[in-house]
Amino acid sequence: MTDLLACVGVQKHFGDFVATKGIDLTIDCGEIVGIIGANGAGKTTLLNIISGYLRPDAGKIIFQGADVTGTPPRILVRRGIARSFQIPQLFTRSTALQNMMLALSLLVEPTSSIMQTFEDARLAGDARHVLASYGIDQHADMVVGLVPQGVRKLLDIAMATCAHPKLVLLDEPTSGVSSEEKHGLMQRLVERFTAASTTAVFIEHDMDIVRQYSSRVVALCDGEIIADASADDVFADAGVIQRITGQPKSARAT
Amino acid sequence: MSRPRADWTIVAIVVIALALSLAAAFIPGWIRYVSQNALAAALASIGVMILLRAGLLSFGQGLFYFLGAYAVALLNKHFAVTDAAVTVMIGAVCAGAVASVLGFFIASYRGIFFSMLTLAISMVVYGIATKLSFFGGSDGLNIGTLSFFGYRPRGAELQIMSFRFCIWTSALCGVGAHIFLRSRLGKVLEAIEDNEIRLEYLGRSVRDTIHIAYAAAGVLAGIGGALAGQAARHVDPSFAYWTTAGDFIFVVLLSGQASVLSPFAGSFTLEVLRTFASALFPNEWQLALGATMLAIVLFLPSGLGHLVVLIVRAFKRRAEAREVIEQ
Amino acid sequence: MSTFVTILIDAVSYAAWLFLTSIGLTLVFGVLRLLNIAHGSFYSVGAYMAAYAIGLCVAAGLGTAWQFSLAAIAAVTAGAVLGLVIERSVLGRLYRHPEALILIATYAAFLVLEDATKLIWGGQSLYANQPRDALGQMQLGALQYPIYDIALIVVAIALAATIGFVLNATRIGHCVTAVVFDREMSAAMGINVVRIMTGTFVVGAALGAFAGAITAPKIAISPGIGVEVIVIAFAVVVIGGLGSITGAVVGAVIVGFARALTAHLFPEIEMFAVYAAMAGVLAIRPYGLFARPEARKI
Repeated sequence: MTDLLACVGVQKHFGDFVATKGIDLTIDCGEIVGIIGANGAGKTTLLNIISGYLRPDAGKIIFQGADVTGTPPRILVRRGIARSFQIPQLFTRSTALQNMMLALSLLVEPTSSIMQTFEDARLAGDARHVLASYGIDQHADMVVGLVPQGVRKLLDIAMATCAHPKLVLLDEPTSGVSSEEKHGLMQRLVERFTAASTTAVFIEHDMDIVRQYSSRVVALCDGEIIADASADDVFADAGVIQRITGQPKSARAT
Repeated sequence: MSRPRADWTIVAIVVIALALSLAAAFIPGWIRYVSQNALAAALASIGVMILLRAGLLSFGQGLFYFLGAYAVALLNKHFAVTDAAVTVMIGAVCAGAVASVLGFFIASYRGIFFSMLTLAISMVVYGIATKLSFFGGSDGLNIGTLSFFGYRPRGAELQIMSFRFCIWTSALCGVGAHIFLRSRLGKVLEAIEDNEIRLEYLGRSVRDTIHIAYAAAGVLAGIGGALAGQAARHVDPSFAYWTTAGDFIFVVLLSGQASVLSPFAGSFTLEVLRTFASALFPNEWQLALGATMLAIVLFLPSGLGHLVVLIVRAFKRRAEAREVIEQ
Repeated sequence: MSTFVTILIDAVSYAAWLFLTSIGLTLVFGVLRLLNIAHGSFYSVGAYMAAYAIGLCVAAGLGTAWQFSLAAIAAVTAGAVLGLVIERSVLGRLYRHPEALILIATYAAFLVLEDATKLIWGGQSLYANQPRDALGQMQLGALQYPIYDIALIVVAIALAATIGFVLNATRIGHCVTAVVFDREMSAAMGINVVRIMTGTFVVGAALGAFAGAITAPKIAISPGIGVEVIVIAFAVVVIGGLGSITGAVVGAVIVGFARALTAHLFPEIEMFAVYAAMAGVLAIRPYGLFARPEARKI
């Protein structure tokens, strides 16, 4: 059991607002961890800090034994930390295919190939292949700005993971995706991650999704971790659920 | 369909350069002169176009135009260097070096900040140049006759050689710029305007990319300035004045950004228009220029080059429709 | 001691002029988020109109009070009308287009106006210093200082106070502030955003023209005064933070002092003082001293 990622005493505040209060979290290789919490609990901030977009005010991020606190995202990405976004971050003026081609040429192809022609048949073919594996290749030639939200989410995740990262951070992967598609999406993702031994950490608001697909759940409230255990244990704890959802467990609609 | 296709833009550049070189002796002298100015400005405009791909509008390319031109003039004056190729290369190196240094600072900025900072830097240099006699003050400097790898032609032959040198230098730069723009790095440039965060999360430093593009644009403007100086055999501080940079912007606006060939066409059109208009309407032609810019901005913001794209597209669609019917 | 007083007065006087010249620019940027290169043309037109009005007054034998009033009215009206025409016919159509295109449009407008002024008034310098001379000089310490220049300081302060009052204490001012912060929300709240934007541009143009009118009695009015103004107004506005009125005041003061100090102590580098000040500020605060913080994107 090796530690892939360790957050030690991570604190972050924005002016007077304290986003995270001293988070200690360890993720082991191969885990699929769900992070739950109310809005403002500090979930996305934590992901931003781990992936290098924000620098914590105190604390450390240790990835594969090395201190990577404050290392910018572009370097962390090459070291194996990938991240998808709550609002998909895409090149909206290019087609889905071009988005994928750009992702591949930057993440997978060697840096020396950067001066090669972009409109390359082989690169396009590889990109189409990746899109097909996520089931979105029928939108390949559509400009991303016009593509449905669920497809944008998938494209975002596909671009993030195309270089087979060691750790994937997913920010609300099923938000904006219709209820029939949510499970299909998570199923696909978890299958890929398990097959490639990718460790995944995902933020989710949909409790059913979290319960079904994560081996471990971390609950955040007001910037600190209030529960960190197997999914069943966390969901059995009425106090935790109340603080997350604001309702006592018996009152929750199923 | 995976036959390797010839890059028609490169073919076109080479063919046109060949044609012009061979016809050089038959082209009237004044047209050669106008063309050389047009080519010089076109190179600087290509630099503007490169930066515009990333959404950055530089009002300061005049600075590098100035540096390239003055490198030629100063080498000529203080070191008696007359070789066309050597002076252009040194001009390019000077401009590139300054652009690389400035890039450290400027690559942090976007939008209006980028535009106005480039403008301010260029104007500072203009101010210095008009005051220092080293730069010949506001009168500028003259450049002696050129030589070509030791060969010193005279009279008509000199003009023709100078013209051919200008053509091939421009062609080389054009090809280089095209390779840059069609490459993956070129696509990254385009993506910068779209979503910088995504690029950073794909492992690419946006700052470094802009730095590279800025240096490349600087080199192109430097070569352009050197060629302009050689054509006119004179340089003056107005090269660094921001309205010179404005001309380069106008060229890109006029011709659109479809390909590297566009600024060449646009620059040539502008030079011809300028020559005729300032002769026929000396007081009103600038007004007409500004009004034309406004018209293009309002009605054809993708430039006249886009008209060509639209026409080509219309033909393609007709051809496809015919294919479907004939199947 | 007297050098110190001279520098101080010079600095404040120059700062006042800088504020007057750049307040229109920063206001327009704050609300419309565009940097109007044609602002220099509004300034230039204001100066020319003022010179024209003063010339008319002098020819008709009218006194200083008339000269001031007519100059100001002529300039402000011309500026406002030009601003309205440009905003409605050009800029108003371009708000959804890329920033670079809008900037080019204002540059094109600048070129057109520059040459129009050259066509109308010719390329030679005009002079309209009658009002300034008429006001005479006053004793400040050991120096004689033109009363006009001191009056300029008072005008600048009054204008700053008025703008501050309008923005903070009137309903229209609150609407403008709302539009600065979030156009879509303002529209959703029932604010006529288009009218606010047009109105702000017209006011900005009028302010630019007013600054030109006020400066006219101090300078030789010629084509090209607009160009110098753009670069320096931008420096002031950038130092203070684009879109911030307080920033425009602070920026004007900083640049005013920088220039006055160098003009008296190291005249050779005077021109650099402004850019050095700008570079210095940008090095510690990349978007100016009072720039608005950006909302988080991801």
